[in-house]
Amino acid sequence: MIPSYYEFHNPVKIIAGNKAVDNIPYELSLLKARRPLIITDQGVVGAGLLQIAVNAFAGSDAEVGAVFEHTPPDSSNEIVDEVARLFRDNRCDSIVAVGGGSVLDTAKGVNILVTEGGDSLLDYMGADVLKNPLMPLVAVPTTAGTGSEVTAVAVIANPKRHIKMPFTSFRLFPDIAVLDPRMTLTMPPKITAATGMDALTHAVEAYSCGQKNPVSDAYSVAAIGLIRDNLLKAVKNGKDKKARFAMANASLLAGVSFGNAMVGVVHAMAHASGGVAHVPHGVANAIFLPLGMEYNMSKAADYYGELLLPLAGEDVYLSTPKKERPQKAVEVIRELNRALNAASGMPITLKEAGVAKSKLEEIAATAINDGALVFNPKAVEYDDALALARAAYE
Amino acid sequence: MTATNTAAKYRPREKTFRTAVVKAAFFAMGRVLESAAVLDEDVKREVDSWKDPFTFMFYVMPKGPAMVAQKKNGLLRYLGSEEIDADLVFYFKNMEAAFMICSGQIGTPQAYAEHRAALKGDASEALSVIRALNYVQMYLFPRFMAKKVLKRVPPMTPRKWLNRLAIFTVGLPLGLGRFKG
Repeated sequence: MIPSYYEFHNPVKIIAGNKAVDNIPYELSLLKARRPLIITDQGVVGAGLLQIAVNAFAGSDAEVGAVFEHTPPDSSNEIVDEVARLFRDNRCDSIVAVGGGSVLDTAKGVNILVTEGGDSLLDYMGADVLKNPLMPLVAVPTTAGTGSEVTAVAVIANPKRHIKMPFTSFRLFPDIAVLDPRMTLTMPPKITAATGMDALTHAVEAYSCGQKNPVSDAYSVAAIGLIRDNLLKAVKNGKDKKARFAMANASLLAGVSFGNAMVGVVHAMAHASGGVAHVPHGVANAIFLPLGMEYNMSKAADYYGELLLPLAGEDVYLSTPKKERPQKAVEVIRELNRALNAASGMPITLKEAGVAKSKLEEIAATAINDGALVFNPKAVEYDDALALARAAYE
Repeated sequence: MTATNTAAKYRPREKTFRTAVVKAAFFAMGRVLESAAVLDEDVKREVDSWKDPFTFMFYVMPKGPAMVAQKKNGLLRYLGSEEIDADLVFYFKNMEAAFMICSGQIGTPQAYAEHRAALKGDASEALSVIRALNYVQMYLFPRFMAKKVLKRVPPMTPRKWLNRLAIFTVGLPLGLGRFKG
C-alpha cells in the first residue's frame, strides 16, 4: 500500500566493516572538526571498546577534547545538561558517541543544547522545533540495537515525571554511523537478545503503523530477514563475527525504517514500562511485541501476513494458508522469545522483568500519553493499555 | 541570448477561501472545546489532568491564523486568534495542510503521519490535548465524517446528544466557560 503522501529522509553516512572505527578522525576532518567530546558508559569502557575508539586518534590531526564515561542505562535530561557543560568547558567542536541507545540519545540531547544554547534540554521538547544545524556527531553503536545511529529521534527520560520524552528533528541525525564488528563482540547474551528484539520491533512496527511507506518497508523486510538468520546465533555464540555484524546491520536497517515510519503501541507500552518500572527497552519490546500485534490485528493483519516471509522463511510462508499467516507471524515471534529466554534468560513477561503488579495502572496511564500512539493503526485508550499491561504481566 | 526574469507573470494565488475555512474552524474548535470542558465528563477529565495555568495554540505557518486556549484556575477558555508564546504549539506547515485537517479531509493521526504538522512542547501533554479535541470533532462533525478522521469515534450517548444541542445553541456563539467562571 502506498500512502497518499509520505516523506523519507536519511542523510547519515554509513561506514561499516573491518576497522571502520579507525576512519573516525578522517571523517571528522571532512566535517571540519578536530576536538571531539567522546560520550560513553562504563560497560563500554569495561569491555575495552572506548580504548579502540581512542586508539583511532593516534597519529591524526584530531585530538580527544573530553571524555564522559558515566552515561547511565536510562539517560536523563539532567545528565544531558551536565554533559553539555563538559562540552563547553573543554572547547569541543564535535561529539563521538560510543555505546548503546542511551549513550547515542544522550549525545543527541547534548548536541541540541551545545548548539541551540541554554542550560536545560526541556526547553527544546517537541517535534521539528530545532532551528540550526547541530555540531558534527559520529555514532558508534555497541549494541544491535536501537538504531539510534540513523534516526532523527532522541528518547530521554525525565526522572521527575517518570516519563520518556521524545525529541524529534531531522537535525538530530548523526553525520556518520560507524558499524565496526569489534564493537558488538563483547555484548552479553541477554543484552544481545534484548537489543535484537528491539531491532525486530522497530522493523515490524514500522511496517505496520500509520507512517509506513514503500521505502521504509524495504528496509524493514531486509532487517527482519537478517534478524531471522542471525539473532539466535549471535546470542548462542557471541564470538560469531558474521552473526554479530549481520545483527549490527539489521539494527541499522530497522533504525532507518522506523526513523521514517515511526512505531506504535508496542513502543508506547515499552516506553511506559521503562519510565515507570525501569524495564530495559529491548526486554519491554520483546514482551509487548506479540501482544501489540494481536491488539492491532483487526487493522494490520495483512501487513503481519506479509511479514511472515522474512520472519520465518519461504518454506513456512508458502505452507501457511494466506488467512493464517498473520497469526502465524505472531507465533513465530513468540517462539523466538521463548528460544531467546532459554538461551539467555531474557525475560518474556513483566513479572520476570521484576515489575510489581501494582505498577500496571501507572504503566497504562503513562502509555496513553506516549507520542508513538499517534501512529498506531488502532486507537488505544486507558482500558486498552491496562489490558495489554495485564496480559504482559505473566 | 539574455536570460529574462518572467516571475512577474506568475503570482501565487491567494488562498482566501481556505483561510476563511481555517479561521472559522479554529473559532468553532475553540468555542466547542471550551463548552465541552464544562459539559462533557470525558473532556473534563482530560482538562483536569493538565497543569494550571496551561496554554496551547494551533498555528498555521508562517503568519497564522491561530487558535489559542488556556486553562487557568481550573477553567478552560478559548482566548481567540492572537498568536502567543504558548506552552504547547501545534504548527501546521502551511495553509493547505491546515485546510485539509479543518475541512475533515484527514484527521490528526494522518496529519502527523504525513508530516503536515509539527509540535513544540511536551508530547505527553499533546496526546491529552488531542484526546480532548477528538471529542470536539465528535461534536462538530456528522458521524460519517468523524469516522474518517478519528481512529475510534466515541459513542454518542443521550447525554452527549444533549451536550451537542447546548454546544450548538449556546456554546458556539457564546462559549460556556464564561458562565462557569
